[in-house]
Amino acid sequence: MPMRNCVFFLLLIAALIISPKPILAKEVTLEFWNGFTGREGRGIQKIVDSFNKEYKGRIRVNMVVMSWNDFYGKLALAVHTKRGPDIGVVHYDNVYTAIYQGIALELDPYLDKFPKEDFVKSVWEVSDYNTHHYGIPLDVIPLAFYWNKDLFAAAGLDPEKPPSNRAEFLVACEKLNQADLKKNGQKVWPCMIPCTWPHFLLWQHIFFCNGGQMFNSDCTKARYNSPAGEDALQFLWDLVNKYEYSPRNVMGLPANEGKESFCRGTCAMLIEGPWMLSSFEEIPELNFGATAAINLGTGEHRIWSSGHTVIIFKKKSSEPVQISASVTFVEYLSAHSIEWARTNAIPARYSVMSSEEFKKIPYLPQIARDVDKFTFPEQHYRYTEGVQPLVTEYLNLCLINKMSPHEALVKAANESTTQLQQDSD
Amino acid sequence: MSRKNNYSAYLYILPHGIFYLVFIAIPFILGIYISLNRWSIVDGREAFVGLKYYIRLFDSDFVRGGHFWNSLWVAAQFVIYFTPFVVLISLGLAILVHNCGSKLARAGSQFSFLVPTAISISIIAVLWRWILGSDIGILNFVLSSLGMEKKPWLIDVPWAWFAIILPTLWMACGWNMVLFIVGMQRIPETLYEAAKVDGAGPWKQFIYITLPGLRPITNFIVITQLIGAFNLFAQPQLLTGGGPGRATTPVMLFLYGEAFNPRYPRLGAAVAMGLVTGIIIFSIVAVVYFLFSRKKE
Repeated sequence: MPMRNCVFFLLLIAALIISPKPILAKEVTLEFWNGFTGREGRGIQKIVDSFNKEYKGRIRVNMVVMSWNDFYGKLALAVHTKRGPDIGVVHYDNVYTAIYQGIALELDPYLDKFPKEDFVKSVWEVSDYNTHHYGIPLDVIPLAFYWNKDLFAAAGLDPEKPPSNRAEFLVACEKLNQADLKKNGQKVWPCMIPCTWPHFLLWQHIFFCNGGQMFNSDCTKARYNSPAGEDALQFLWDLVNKYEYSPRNVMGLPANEGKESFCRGTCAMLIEGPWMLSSFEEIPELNFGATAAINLGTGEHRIWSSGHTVIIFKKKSSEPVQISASVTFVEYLSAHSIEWARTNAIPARYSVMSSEEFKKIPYLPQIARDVDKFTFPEQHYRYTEGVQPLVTEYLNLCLINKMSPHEALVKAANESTTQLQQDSD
Repeated sequence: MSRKNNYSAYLYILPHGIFYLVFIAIPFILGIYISLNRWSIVDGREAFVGLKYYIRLFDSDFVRGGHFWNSLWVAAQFVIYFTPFVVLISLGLAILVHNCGSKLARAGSQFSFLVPTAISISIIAVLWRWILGSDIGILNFVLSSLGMEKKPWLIDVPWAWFAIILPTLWMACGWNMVLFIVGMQRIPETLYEAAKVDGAGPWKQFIYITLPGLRPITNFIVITQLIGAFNLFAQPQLLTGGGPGRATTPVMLFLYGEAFNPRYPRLGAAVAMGLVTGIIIFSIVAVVYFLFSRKKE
């Protein structure tokens, strides 16, 4: 008997050693890439850490953080190596690029774990392509409207009632202008219109409110030099040059003068992303309010939005167990996005947005109130190339008064169309 | 020279030869190969395209071709604005420091002028953004305090050129000043003594002894600064963002955007543009070198 037991034991050991698939469960290690640093980086790391704790011995996620430029530069190539990422977070407009590059995994078989109706519709649809779905939205990032409550009060405006449309905005600007306020000897401006990035976001936000469409359906012809586009640019130009509610030559990136000025209390109203909230919150004497970007157009209120989307990569070396583990992690990340919201991001899930925890976060619930108006630019893999003339050159030239809005948009649209009809290489 | 000595000469140049081969000759040949093919970041070489990327640079309808020539012109403008100033200011500083009576003052001024050379360009850019910002900049604050109009230093030309050139001069002059001082120290003192005996004043000594004595080092500085100026990259990227429009986007910044665009990396096209740029820079440098190296009749 002891001999039989011994043989059985040896056979069992041999089977464990030579088995092509491990009989005993082995911990699956996943590589998770993103470009989150600072507060955002700490927020996402917290979720990863709690996941690793909960799934100890089964799944381990290693988070790799790098600058977004490095991230996008390395991503496609890395996915095709064995050591590349299994999961990553990309900006919404890179979902199509990932699909085009063939590195995004179709998530259709796993969608039962992600109830579509719980996600903000507009950001969910960003990851739809050819009847397939490729990404799970992590958050929505609309353009936000900030106002300095102390300056509003000083100008005789109700500090708890920000303007909600173009007419009210102009009235507020005029009152602030007439109040002739000064802060530390510096003039207080009603608003700041940057002539470099994010000037494009401002213009596109108003363009969307005017009901504009950027390109035709196959992205071969620019359509933004429409009345919707001209009105949007003319309005921004007027704020600077006609009404003089904004100083001229306000530099956006790389100097970010609008943000600096708002922080110092020399700018009363600012339209920027919610990513500015952390900077504003760090200044105790800055008494400000925040809401989603107001309707500065002439049509239905829409709000320019962006967002981060989680993608599972189509690695040649991925085994089903790795994909399954990746889905488990993405499900966890999505379900725990309240932690992510604490970094000043609006979660993409209604269930998280309606939670008591989210409602306690300062400012975000007010910005998220208009979530159904959040609008994403149309998706096409050559979209970024198409908007390049506007972003790089013509909006800037118009806003520094070197070109009329009409001329700038016509020239930009012609260049966009020509470029889109030429080879992309 | 004996055969043995010949071998030792080859041995001396071997380290440089290896580096030259690995970092210049082989990449150059590979570059030509890359420029004749279409590349995908994922699949590598996709197709042979021949001279397509070169020929279309001369097609006026090709949008990015127009941007390329514009960026080359921007780089040339920077060379024209920057190179004479860097040479003259460095020379002026070198004369002042070289003739400084106190040894301590000489060492101190050499050190203080050299410090900007050692600072990272990113830090220099942040520093100068604080100085030159339109609304929040120190310079505009001073101007408006004096009742003068604020200037769009980082926003509009010609001011944006000033915003790029000034920090670059600040960075570059210290090093070139040291080179000029080294050149001055190599001029024999006896020449100045003989000139003084013949009644030559400081101006004539400078014109007839110092300047000719500095000719080789001046030649070197002009050539290196010219090449450096054509390679302008970080200052416009960090200070003006290449604007207004594309008015301060030099060729290297444009090529970087072409080659390493995360969405559409156009390696073949960018390398073709880079090679054309290289040929143009090499031709200009050759002409300048020829002009500077001509011996007076």
